[in-house]
Amino acid sequence: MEEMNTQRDELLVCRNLTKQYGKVTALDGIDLTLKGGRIVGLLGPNGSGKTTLIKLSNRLLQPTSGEILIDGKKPGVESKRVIAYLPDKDFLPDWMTAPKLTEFYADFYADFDMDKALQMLEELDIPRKMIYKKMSKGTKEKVQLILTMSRRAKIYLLDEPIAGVDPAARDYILKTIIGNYAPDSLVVISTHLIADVEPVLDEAVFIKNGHIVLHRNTDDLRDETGMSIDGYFREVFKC
Amino acid sequence: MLRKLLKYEVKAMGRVMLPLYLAMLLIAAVVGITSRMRVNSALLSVLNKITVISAVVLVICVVTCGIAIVVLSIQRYYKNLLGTEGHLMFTLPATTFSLIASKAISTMLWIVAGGVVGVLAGFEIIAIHGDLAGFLEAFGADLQSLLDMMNLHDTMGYVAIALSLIVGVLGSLCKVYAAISIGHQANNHRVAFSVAAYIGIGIAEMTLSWLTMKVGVLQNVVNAMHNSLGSTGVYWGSLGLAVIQALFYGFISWILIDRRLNLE
Repeated sequence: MEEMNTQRDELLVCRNLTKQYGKVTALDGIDLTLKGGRIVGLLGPNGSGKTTLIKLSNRLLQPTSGEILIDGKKPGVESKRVIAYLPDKDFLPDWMTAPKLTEFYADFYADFDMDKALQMLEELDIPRKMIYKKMSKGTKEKVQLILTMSRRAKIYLLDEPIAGVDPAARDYILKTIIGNYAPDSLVVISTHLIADVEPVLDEAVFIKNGHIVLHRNTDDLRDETGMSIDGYFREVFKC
Repeated sequence: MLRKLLKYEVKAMGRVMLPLYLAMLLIAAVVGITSRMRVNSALLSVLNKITVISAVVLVICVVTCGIAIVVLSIQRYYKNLLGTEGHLMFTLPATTFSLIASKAISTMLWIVAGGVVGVLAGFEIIAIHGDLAGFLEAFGADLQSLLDMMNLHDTMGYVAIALSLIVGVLGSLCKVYAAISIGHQANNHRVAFSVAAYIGIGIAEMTLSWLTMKVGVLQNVVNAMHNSLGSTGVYWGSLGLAVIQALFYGFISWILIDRRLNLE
């Protein structure tokens, strides 16, 4: 019974997962299990395979070999219902206004909380009548985050959510992430800006050249190394 | 889910197509009004110029509509599915089939709407300018002689022609989708590979039809259809070919996107 519950908690499982782009190996036979109720930092330098792993989870890429399971199932229509994904790209239709985008999300995702989304749009002074194309970069990123975090999803996959914004906006984004996910959900934050996300992380996964080099509880890691996660990351990844 | 996807797809295309269609109707009205006012007018030369200019603008508008629908249908497939917006579209809880079908159905709807608007614009000019009833009578007579020439005398024959036209356009659209999907398999220069794939498909189609004619297969099929279904058999045959083409290219597009999507 306990084993069944443990398996049920396993929201993202990779088994010997490999992804090659032509001759370049982006992920090399990784094994990884992430459970619900945790905020996990997927940490690594540029080109280490973080985005590839997240895209494989969303079935935007197909694995070269190995297996990936989302809430016990292979990525597909069902897994898309439970994943809230924030890409590292400008991915929204640029002809819609922010309220129209919330309607779009509400139409397609049963777990979308419209009241919460409208409240966040209000709090952040997002212009109602401006189309997405005409918004500033920072405003666009806020809209993307609001739409993603207004879902009551089982899994949040956030790819570089704070990379392009100023420090004040970073604080808001992290506050939004912490304040808006359900306690039994899994939140994966992919980033190379460790110092900013460190305070919110329960687990850290270090990824380097397509390999998982470390997967630990952040408190344990700090106790064992006597360093911050950021400090230890710099140690592991120093050039 | 297809209904929801279709709603947004029709809206997205409508942003471009609707103003163009409205412009077409408006310009047609200008052509009709100015050409009517020319009769017994003291401003004949000015009105002549306006009529000619508005007629030219109308032709430009019609051509623009044609180009816009082609460009838009390609752009909606390439940009909205295989560009950065694909990160949203392919993470919606929708099947690949419904994503592709929504693009194809929306394009077909706007093409059919374009045809209707074109006919309305023509009637508008005639109705404003002069005798619509007389025109319709003459048009009906011309249409009847055309149908006589095509040896078409029954409703099912008209249905076969209309369906083969619509499915034929759908097949051509799916061919474009298939070429883009093939080009998407390349690691680099995907647009160039898509164009090359489209040319390659065209050459393969021509070779296939030449071979079928050479060995007499096509002639045998046409004869068989004619013998079994009468004069309209040929049109049902062309509908069958159009259906096969649409299904084949639709399947190629679906399988490549569903099984081999790589949004790098």
